[in-house]
Amino acid sequence: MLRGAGVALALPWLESLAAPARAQAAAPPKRFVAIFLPCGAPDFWKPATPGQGNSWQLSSLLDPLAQLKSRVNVISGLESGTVFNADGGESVEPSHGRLPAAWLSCDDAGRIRRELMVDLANGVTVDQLMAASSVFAGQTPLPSLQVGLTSVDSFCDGQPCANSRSVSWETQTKPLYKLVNPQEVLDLLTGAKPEQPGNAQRASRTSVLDAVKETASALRARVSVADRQRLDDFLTSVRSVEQRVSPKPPGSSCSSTLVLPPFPEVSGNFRSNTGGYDKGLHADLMNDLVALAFRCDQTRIVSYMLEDERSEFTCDHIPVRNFGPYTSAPGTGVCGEWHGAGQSGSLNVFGSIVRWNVGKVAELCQRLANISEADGSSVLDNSVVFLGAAMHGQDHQASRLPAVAIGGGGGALKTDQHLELGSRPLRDFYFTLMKGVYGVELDSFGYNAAGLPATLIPELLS
Amino acid sequence: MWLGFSGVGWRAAWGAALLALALPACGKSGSKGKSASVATPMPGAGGDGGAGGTGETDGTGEAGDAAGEPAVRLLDGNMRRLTAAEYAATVRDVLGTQTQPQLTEFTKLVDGFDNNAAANTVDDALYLRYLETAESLADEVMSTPALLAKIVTCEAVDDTTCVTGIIAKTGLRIFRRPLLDAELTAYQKVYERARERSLDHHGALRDVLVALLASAQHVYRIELSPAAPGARPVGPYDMATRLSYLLWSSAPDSVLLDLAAQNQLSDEQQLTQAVDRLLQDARSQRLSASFAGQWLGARALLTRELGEAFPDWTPDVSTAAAAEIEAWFGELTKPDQAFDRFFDSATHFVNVDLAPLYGLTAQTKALARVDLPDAQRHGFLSLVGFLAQDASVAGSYGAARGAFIREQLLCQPANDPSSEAEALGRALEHFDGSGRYRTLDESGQPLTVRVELPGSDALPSAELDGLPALSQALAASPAWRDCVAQKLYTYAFGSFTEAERPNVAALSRAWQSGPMTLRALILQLVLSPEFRQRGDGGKP
Repeated sequence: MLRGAGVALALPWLESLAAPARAQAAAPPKRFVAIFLPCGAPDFWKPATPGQGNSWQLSSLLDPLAQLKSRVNVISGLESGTVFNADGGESVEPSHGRLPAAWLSCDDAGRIRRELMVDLANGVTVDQLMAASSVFAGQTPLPSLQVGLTSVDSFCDGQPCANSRSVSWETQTKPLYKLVNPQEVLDLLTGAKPEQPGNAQRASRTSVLDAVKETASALRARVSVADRQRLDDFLTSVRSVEQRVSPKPPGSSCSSTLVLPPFPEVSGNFRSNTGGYDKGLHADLMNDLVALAFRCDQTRIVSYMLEDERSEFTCDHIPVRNFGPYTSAPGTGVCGEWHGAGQSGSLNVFGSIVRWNVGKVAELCQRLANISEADGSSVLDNSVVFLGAAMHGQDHQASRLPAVAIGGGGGALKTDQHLELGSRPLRDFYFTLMKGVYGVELDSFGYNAAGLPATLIPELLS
Repeated sequence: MWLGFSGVGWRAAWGAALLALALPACGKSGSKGKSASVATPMPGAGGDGGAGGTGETDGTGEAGDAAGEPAVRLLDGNMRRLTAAEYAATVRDVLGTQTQPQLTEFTKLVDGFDNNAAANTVDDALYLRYLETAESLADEVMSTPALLAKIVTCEAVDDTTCVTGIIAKTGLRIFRRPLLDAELTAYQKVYERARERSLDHHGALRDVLVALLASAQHVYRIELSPAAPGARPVGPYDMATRLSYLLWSSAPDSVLLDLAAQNQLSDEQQLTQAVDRLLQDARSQRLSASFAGQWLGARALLTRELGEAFPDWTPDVSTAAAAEIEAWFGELTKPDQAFDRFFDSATHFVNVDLAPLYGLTAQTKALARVDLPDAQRHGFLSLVGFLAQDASVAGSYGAARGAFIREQLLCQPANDPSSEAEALGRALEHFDGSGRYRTLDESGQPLTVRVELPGSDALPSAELDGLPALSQALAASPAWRDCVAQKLYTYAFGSFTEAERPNVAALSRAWQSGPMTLRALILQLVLSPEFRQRGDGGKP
């Protein structure tokens, strides 16, 4: 088991990876990881001053990213109040039930529920829009991957539970529920069990097309010369379509002999680090699996919930630290519940929980930095890992959202900066990422209660 | 010996059929098999229908009939992809589904028909559409209890007898023939793989249904070649399929499939009974919609625009005009109707949209039958749907009408410009571009419709005065009768090449030797050698 901020080593079991080197196209593919931080953060998450390069410093909450600072982009001033309130007001209640749904959709789930007259709805989220776009569609066996570390059922705050327990919505009525069990994720990546819905259709089509090809081929010997040509043309079309609808089975490039270290089955049954459950190990395994997914190019889009928005998990794996603006020092005891003792309690406990999770994000990014592409750059250089929260922090407001992007975006993202925006819709950030970094064609993104369109943030782009 | 078809009774029936093989009564059996749509002749075959003198024999070769006509060519029963209309009718008839397949954008017209065998290929885009359509149809079946009950006739999960029985029964309807053993195995594996993925009995059968619908054996009509060289009678299931697509644009129903299973679609009497049953069925309306709809331009009418000169010509009018052509042709399919009525029938089908163009009044959207006394409104030439041609094609609607008459009614090659077409058009000047009758032209001058036909292969030189005289001249033209035969032949076989001209000539002669009804023409076609026999497909 590995703990400790900053230094990340691959777990021993992963050293037996037998993934073959992929033939690279001219430019390495870009990836996107959206990591959800519930409950926001204390005010001192934000670096004291804006700036670039040497003129800014990581805050004490973000200092686990020190080794990666040159690829860090802190954006302060993002808000989502304008999604819900035409006057841009930052109060959106019940906040835990409404704001997380807007985190990747930048839309008001309730508005869409009423519009469609259904019980469950939201806007299509940025990761799903990207996955469906011509830039990403069909490039990988899995259009996207949703994972999380939730181990206890969270409070839904009077709203549909999907609002706060999932952050990815494939369609306006289809939330994508995250996988929390490492074994399930591994099975998905190695093809052992086609669990996610897209795989069901893919597997069905593969089977169907096998029979179509088999029987058509068998008829070749039984038809006229001219018809044989027609059957061949037919078979060519079938194979070509097969390539498009089932590019390659999941796990065809990931070795299927990988074995996880022992880990209990997670099903909302672990309220704290007892009974064999270890949140730290959970995070480490999930980090390794996300890295594996990218290494084997099973997907290029991941959404990752560190916890559900209204988590009651007791963070007794996290020692309390005492915080200054730039540094922190060990304190006494361990943290309590994330929402109760953290967001609603002591700033040091709150800060400790957030900083510990930033550490895990840093470890994930370091793993991605250790995966090399053919041109010598790393997966992290060519990706954007976005760590963000749907609300500010203890005040539960939809403004001043914690937001940190790590990674180079293939050179399109300006890095090593703290960009302080006055008050800017979160949708503009995603809009800029989609258009400016990933090259996804679209005219706007997200909803604005006053009817205004999304605009680019040029300071984000290099 | 025809190999491979399995199924209780089928092999025995087929063996018996071969022993009892009788040649068709008209005696014009072909001397060699030739693929009708392949341009290069078979090795050893003559290029011009010579009377069997090139060495290939099959024991039935004849040198043509006593009049010295070239021998009829047998065809190979080429794979024919279903047209959009055929696919839609097929799945509706076989599965009972409501889902509308979206296949019309893949239509290719050759000589005005969408069922040309050579042109109708499958490409990537179309195949993806087939796959998605198969999934939609299967999902509809599996979620509609009445439709599901027809397919899932037993619920014994993983039971071979049950599953193979369902595959065989459903496959028979979808492939229009009993499945080969290898096919049963292949689709059984689809079921098994689905069960391995933890789908239940219905879920696994849904995959099987998708596979059947997405197979070549469904989207194409495939006639398996005989194993040995030489001509053979068309097999019973292939015959059932030929009949049902000719007359219903759809798959054989259970009655036809049963007749095929009993091998009761081989002699003249059986074939005649089958044709009559199909013609009397309501589904024969599709013959009018598909054959006449394309031949006589009804389908093209649906998107006809006449421009600013005719502001009354709305989409509703063009739809009604197209519907009139189909209903009007439907009258000609009645067994007692002489096909000559084509040029002198007083019958029209009119609704509120069409009525003004005929100088009538009507109240309803539904077409009502009306007989018009005026000779100016007798016959096909007086139908609004014919008169409202697309002027942009030929420069004027008159020239477009003339070209239509030459190409569609006389089967003359398109000849641009043609003085004959221009004269034919002028004979119809009493009708404006939207088919409305008038006595004065656009500048207010009295019209004259006396024209001089220059004389051609199709129509002798003559002086004609307007529509009634033109109708008479066309009805009397041998080229007209041959053309009807050629159009039906082309529609039936999905091709027509010069090498098949002897077939059409023989068909036309046979038709003219008896009552010249459409039914009789269809029967002569069905009883012809090329409909009842096939070549061996060029197998070595």
